[in-house]
Amino acid sequence: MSSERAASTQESQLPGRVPLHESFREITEHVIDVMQRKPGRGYWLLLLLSLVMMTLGLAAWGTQIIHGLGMTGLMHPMMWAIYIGDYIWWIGIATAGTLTSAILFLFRAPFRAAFSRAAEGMTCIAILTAGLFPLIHLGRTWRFYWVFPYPNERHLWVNFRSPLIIDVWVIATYLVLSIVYFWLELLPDAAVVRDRSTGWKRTIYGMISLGWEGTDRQWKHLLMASTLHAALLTPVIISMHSITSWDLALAIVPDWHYTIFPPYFVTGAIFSGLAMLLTLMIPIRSYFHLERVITVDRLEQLAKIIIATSLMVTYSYAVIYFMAWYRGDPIEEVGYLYQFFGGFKVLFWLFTICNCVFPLTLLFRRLRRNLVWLWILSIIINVGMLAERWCIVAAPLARDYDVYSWAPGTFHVSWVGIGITIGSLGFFLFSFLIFIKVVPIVPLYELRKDMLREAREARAETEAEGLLKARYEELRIKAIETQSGAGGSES
Amino acid sequence: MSEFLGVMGYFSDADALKNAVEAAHREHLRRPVTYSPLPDEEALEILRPGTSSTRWTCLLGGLAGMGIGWAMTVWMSFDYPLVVGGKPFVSWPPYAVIVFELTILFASLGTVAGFLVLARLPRQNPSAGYRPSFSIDEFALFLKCDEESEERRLIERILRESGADRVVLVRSRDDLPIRRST
Repeated sequence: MSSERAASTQESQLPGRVPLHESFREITEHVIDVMQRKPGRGYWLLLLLSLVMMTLGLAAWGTQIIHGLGMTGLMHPMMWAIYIGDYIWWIGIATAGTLTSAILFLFRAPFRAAFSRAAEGMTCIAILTAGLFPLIHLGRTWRFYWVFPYPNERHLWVNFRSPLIIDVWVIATYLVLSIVYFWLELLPDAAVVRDRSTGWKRTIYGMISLGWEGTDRQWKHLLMASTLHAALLTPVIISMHSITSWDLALAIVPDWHYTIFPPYFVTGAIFSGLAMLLTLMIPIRSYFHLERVITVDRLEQLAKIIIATSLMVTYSYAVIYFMAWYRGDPIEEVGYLYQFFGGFKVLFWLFTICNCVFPLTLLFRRLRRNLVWLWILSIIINVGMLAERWCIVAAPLARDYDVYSWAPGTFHVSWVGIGITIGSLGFFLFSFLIFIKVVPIVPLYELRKDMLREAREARAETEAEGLLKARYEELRIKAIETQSGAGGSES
Repeated sequence: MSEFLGVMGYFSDADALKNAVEAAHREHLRRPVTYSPLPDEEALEILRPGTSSTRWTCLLGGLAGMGIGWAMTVWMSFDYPLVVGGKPFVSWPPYAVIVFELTILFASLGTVAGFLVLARLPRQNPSAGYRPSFSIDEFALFLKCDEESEERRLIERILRESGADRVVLVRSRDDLPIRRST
């Protein structure tokens, strides 16, 4: 028996043994080489496009600073429209990045590793982009420090009861945590880049990796630190989008004042952010030739979360409209009727179709696994969610309790508002294009860890199978022996 | 003059490293140090049983953040007492949100501080015997011992038997300050 066991272990060591370290090297070299090789024409064109978009945004912002907020077309009563809508949209995109990297980490979702680095990068860039909007919306941006409690000679402090002030603290916390989490997860991979480069690159990546060597001590504490960050980030993203929704829901504006707003905003955020993740990951997958890492199965998993969140968002819309009717407040009803059929009808039907109808196509497996359709759909969802954010921010302001200030039509749009929105997209695109060229786009050490785990599991399975077979054989022989013994005594 | 530090075995396989770690553990050798491109939880469990103390620094940071949050909001409300919306000076429910965020923020900072201290980072120079492939596909086990000793022969035997590709005697480099593996 013992020799049998020894034989089975020896045999079982074979499958995990030879290919693993070769595949470690292969995948590392592949990812690093694609990251470091000279970018092609498409990359430069996209970079140029993003710079043009950013220039437009800066020009628009400059115009607004010189001539005042009036240039944006914002007008009473819809003083919140395009900027706050953009802000909520960008924050939502950040949220889904954290969902993919942190919450799915806590749930040990096996498909997460392929996306986590890109998702974390997307989060950090999206928070920075989102953070621009309140500053731009201030008008006098240079007075942004007024939102922080700083010592001044009048001993005047900020009003901590205001959701707008609370929002500042939340965004700051979220930004710091996201960057720290991103960096913690990056340490071992930055060491890979460091060890494969020379000169100034080696120095810079050496600094980023803090001289990481992968000793047992470092791994032990890194694993705990990143697990803790995943656990800390989870309540932060939920609180963050809830508080963003309070910016609206705590005001006594009829169609904003709902308790369902926080969960509705969080699901909407995850919905739009996952769509953005698909928008980014599908081209990256083919550009980096990551078909083996980012498999269609894994993209399909994301598509499944998208369909779930789409249904939740649809449900939230339904609840809000139902409550508006059921409560019997005429102003509230008028507000929504104004969205359905009045000045906001274009935005309203656009987002309803984009967010509630198109994602239903993902119920079909073939469409879910069709990457071209998935990519197109992700754009449709992005557009739908942006339209939704604009609509829910501005439309309720057009139908307030004060009938005197009801506004005709939709909110006014000038080239400045649109220009800054395009500029923010340019900023995001530019940062992401730089990001994919300086950071390994997939977390290499996690892929290695997954590969080792899979190899060990496979081996344990063969081992267990061998033991079972041996045991079965033993029992069978015993049974035959007993039978023949019994037969013998009988005869 | 370079100093003899110990013996390093290089492996190309995580399981071989794990076997070597187990063997070193059985022989009660002085604290082994492993180098690995991935966190092998099974080997870590033998080398460093128990949970990392970063969770305590996380807790400390969180508690500090909570204290700072309450102190800041309450003190500032009294420093310039102004009735807003007919509320009491300290209307704590909305403050709790800020306190919550500061708790999380400081918990994160505490975790990072704890991680850096406990993991002995940042390091400026590589440890003696470090190779660039440690971050990609090579594993290693370093064991401290004296140059001429029974222990050294035992270590070399253990490393070879567990499947090390190479066994190397590690000395400190003359051009760098002595960095012992930690």
